[in-house]
Amino acid sequence: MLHGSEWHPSPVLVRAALGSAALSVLAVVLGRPDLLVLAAPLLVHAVAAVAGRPRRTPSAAVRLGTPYVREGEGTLVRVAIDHAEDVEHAVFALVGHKHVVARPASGVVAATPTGGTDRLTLELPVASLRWGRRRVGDGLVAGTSSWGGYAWGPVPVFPQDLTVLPQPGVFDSRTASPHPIGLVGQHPARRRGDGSEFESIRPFQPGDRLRRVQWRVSLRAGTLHVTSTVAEEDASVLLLVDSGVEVGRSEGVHGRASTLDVAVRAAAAVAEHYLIRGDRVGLRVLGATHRNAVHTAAGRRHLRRVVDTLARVVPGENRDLDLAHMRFQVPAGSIVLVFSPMLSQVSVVATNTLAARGLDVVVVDCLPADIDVAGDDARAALAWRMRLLEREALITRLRRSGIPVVAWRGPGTLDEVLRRLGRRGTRTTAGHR
Amino acid sequence: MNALDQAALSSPQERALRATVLAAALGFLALVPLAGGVFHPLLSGVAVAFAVLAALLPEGNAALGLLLYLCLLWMISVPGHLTGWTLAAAVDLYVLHLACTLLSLGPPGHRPDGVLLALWWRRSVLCVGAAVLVWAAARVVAFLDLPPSGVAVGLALVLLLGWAALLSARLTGQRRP
Repeated sequence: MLHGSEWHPSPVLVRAALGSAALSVLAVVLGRPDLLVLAAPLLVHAVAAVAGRPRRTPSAAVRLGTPYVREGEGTLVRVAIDHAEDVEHAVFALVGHKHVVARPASGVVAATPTGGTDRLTLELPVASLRWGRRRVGDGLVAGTSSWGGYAWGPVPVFPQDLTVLPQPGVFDSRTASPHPIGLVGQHPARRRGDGSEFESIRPFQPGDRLRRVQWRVSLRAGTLHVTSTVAEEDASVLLLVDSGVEVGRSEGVHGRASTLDVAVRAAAAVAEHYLIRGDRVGLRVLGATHRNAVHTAAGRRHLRRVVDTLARVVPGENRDLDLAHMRFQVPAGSIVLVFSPMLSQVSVVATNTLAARGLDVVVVDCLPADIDVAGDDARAALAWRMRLLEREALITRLRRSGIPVVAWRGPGTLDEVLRRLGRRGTRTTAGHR
Repeated sequence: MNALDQAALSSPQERALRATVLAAALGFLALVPLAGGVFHPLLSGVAVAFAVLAALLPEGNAALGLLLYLCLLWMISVPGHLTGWTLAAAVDLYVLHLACTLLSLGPPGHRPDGVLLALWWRRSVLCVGAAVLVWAAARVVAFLDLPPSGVAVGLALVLLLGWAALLSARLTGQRRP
């Protein structure tokens, strides 16, 4: 029961006062000194509690140690109580939310200031076990005065926004991008230029640098020869995350993952990998209504932007997606990585649309192998089996039309696919450029 | 949240305090015959029911009800002799009150810290010391066998009236102290 933000007599004072008063009156009226003995401790308590009557009304506010954390990382919920000179003991009880854990697990933290302090701070470590936008820090604050005589609160404090960034899955790719298109980067291009990868030894031409002269071959041939290298360029990658459907139960960073968990964490891992290597990455979230696109750019600050957008993904936010009016704005030569369990028509249509534009599209299958959708329900199991068969047929069609589909398995997931795309040289996918 | 949920969510310290409430109530019932009183099974059963209720809802009026009921039981069952058991009963009653007080300082899951427990330990010494003083003074007065004085009783009643007036002003008067 909420009592408001003013000090009020606590049940402790009422008990001590009424108990001691009743016993004392009876002791005097009935001439029973034993009742006075029983009343004595309560009387001392009541007198001391009334004497320690608080003067100033405290006020409480909550803030977070940091508004951004990774999945599984903790932050502090700090409850600051001002005008706390009369507060002898303060308690904060956090309201529990899904995927948010506190230490202690009860979410109750208390403090007993040793000296009269104007500002009292209660700190409660909390952590979010799943990526996303969370509202944490709401709860009730209460305090008691000296001898527990007067109580303040419980007073509600309001939640704060906590952005939980996805913990990127481990990812590494040793294969170069099939179509590097930029000016500088780490992927060997098809054209000659200043790079580190050997291309050939050819006769000297005006403009060649002297340090490129290959002296052994020049002496043997009698004319100047130089070592030529291929240029190194950066790649452009578009990450397409399907948030329209989420299958499976998310148990947080340490438990089983849903399809959207896999998609978001995999997209974050790939974005981190490419952006740290200097490539350009863009993001499009299929099924999001707000902030569903991040333009293609490079740099560590851009990585933050991509991961922040991934953290805001809400499953099934927009099911009425109109792909006819959707503009992907993909630069030519980009690789499009579609992170999807391939269970919705939207992602299939989007994949085919992008492939028809002549882009290199790779579908990263985000359906975890250990997913349990039906549980013990036999009919649900049968329905899920049928859904999986439809999905298999769909994936087979995609593969036949030249779109590679790979299951997400962390490091090396894309290596073989990118190597094959690089060998193609020219596009072989369905549709026309 | 109902009482059983609260009990289930209690911290180990809170569980110990709830057990203390029950133990203190049972201890008080045991002290009644020891102090020369009559044991009433029915009245004692009601006290146990009150004790269970107070242990489950220590921050409510159940604890006040239990306290007053035990005092009433003492008053009707025990002759007004001052013995060592009287002092034991006073300490027992205070322990019950203290356990309910500590339980009411926070929600289920609250763990009273060391500073708080040390503070209440010092206060308990003071309160029990007051009971010992009153007990000793009453024993001295009983030993002196002074004749009943209407003036003394009147003075005590005036004192109590003043205390009651102060309390009513503090407890039911202005909301903001």
